[in-house]
Amino acid sequence: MAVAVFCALMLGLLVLTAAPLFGPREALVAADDARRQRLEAMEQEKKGYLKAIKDVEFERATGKISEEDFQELREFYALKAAEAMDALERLEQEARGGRRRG
Amino acid sequence: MVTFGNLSQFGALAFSLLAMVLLVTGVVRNDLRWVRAGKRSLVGVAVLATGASVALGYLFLTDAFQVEYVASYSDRALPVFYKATAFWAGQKGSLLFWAWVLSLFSALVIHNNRREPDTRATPYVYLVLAGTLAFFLFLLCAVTNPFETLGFVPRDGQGLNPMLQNPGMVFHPPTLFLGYIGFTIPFAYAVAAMVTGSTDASWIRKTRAWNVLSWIFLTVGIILGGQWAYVELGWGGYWAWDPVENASFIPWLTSTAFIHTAIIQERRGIMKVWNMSLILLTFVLCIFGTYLVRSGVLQSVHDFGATGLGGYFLVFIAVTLLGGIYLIAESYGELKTPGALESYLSRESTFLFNNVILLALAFATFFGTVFPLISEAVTGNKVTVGPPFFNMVNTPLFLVLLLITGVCPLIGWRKASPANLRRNFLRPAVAALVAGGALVALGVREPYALVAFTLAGFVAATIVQEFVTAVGSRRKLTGESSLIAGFRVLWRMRRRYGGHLVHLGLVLIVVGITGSSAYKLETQATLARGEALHIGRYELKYEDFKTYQKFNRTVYAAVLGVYNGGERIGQLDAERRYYVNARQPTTEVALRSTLVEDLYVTMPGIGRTGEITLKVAVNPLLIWIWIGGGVMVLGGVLAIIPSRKKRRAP
Repeated sequence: MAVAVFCALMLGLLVLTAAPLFGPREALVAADDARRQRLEAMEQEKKGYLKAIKDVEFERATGKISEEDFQELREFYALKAAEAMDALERLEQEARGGRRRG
Repeated sequence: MVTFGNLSQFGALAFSLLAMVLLVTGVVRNDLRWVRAGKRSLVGVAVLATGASVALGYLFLTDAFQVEYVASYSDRALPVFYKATAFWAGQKGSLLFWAWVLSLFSALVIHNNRREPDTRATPYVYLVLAGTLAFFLFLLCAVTNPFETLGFVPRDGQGLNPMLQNPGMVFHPPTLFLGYIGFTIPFAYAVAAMVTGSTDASWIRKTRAWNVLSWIFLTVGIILGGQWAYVELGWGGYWAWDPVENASFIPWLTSTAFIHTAIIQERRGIMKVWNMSLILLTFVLCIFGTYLVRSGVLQSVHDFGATGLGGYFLVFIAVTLLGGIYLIAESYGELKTPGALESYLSRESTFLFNNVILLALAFATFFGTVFPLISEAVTGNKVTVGPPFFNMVNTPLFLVLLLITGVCPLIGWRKASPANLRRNFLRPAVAALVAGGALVALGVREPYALVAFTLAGFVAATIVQEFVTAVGSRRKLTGESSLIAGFRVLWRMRRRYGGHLVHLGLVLIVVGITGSSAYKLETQATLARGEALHIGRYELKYEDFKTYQKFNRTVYAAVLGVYNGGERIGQLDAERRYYVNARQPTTEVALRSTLVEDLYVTMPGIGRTGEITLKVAVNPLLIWIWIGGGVMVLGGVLAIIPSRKKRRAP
């Protein structure tokens, strides 16, 4: 009985495991995937810098950094966030262009 | 059920190997279909490992003593609760538990990523998980099989070690294992990031919840282990620097370091090599911890005896460590970040300094733990270094760590100016000095205790200052009441304040450890009925003696009246228990615990003429260790509560 249940279980699992192999072939790294990854990374970077701006504002409010340092840091993070947004825009344009060409 | 369990375990091994083959084929052929099949194969491992685990649990509950493992750790008289948890009382069940939980975690990772498209990193993540699973399942199938039968059916089992028949022991091993196992996930992502060259902070972001959750489990496991040692072993302490205690503490230290520097990589994109090294170290140390408790290579209260598992673990550890080092060296060009720290007076620097101290603690503890092995290799004799070594080396390091815990939140990111430092340090420093002065006035003279309490006051003051200032700023901006503003600051910045809560928990633990170790009172006496002993402000009077049967044990209990200033304030029952199938009686601790101190009583002896021998201790502030542990866990949980995802407009 135990052997029969086990065999049925194994058979079911093997069928489930093998099922994707009968689908259409897909490459592991599609160009879209690579672009999507870069977009995602850039989006995260942008969010990180915007969060950093919020944090320095909080740190100024709680007196941890001077007004001078605050201005310097805020400008630095704002510049970085702007760079990330530019890069994001470029990537999105490339993606749109790629789709039109495709 | 024996056959089903055994077959399931072998099936799980086959599926983990199949998963590896499918995933590698997917990479080699650059074909996503094979990767998907590999993922499904991993889900198959989870199903089969669950089958094997359910089978073992069933065998325990049905007293299937023909199974060697069940016969060794259970008997008919064992309460059902302990029968179920005897699953992980020994080596074989613990390893099955490891494999089972890791297979479930792997399936959970697959489930959580079901909406994410598979990237180049995907097969490598699952390859690491499948490889680790294959290792543990191989041990179970080929070296230490929990379904091995005796060839006959004994009338009864040998029973569970009485010391393990304690609620603390029910939860301590699995929580510790959950911590160990959980770190496999971030390690797998780190390996995938290095192999595919995606060394930005995205692997850290993706695995942040796993990191903190594993750290929480490790913390709970360590605290519960300490609690079990305190209430069950009867020597009056909670931490003996036992090799297995250390084995859980070392990865806790490295993972704590990693959690801190991961924040820096997330925010600044620096310290990539450091973070890769830390997660590799943490994973290897988690495996090492499992090896230490399961190999019998070092003497420990957890020792399961030498088993021949050691060689396999050492090979796995060596392969992982060398493979990890190779990957870090290979990706060094991508991991190396220019710029690094801008100022030594910055939060990044304090994080780095805290890392150095945490790693120094980890190294010292590791060195002391494996010293018997080193000494045996060099001199032929196992020389054990005891608690004095660990206390001497680690106490000053802990104090420095405590100081940094206080300093860190006061310093801003990137760089801090002397004027800001003066302003932010002033109040906490004054609070610490006042606390220190008050302690001296109260008669505290022990140098370490004085420093520890003063620093604890400093850290607590920094946390309070940080919170009060933030609430004040919010009130100024929003006009909210203090209560609402306080709640919102806590909730909206829960990652930050979760961290502060963890630090507050650490402060409470330091208070508990310092109080109970520096000001402990102990005495021992033999009393006839009606006699009393005195300790501190307490009088303990031997009033009665009871004998009764409960579950699987005969209990001999001395009833002790607790008096303070002539007034009876309570009663303690100090017990000696004789368990069915146990050769030795056990001593059960009688405990009266308050926020100020613990009254701790054990009865090591019962005389023939009715007199009893009592060992009594007063442990000041000890309860704060458990409360602090709870606060730490609460802080960790607060820090990983996810924020509600903002819905984008279509």
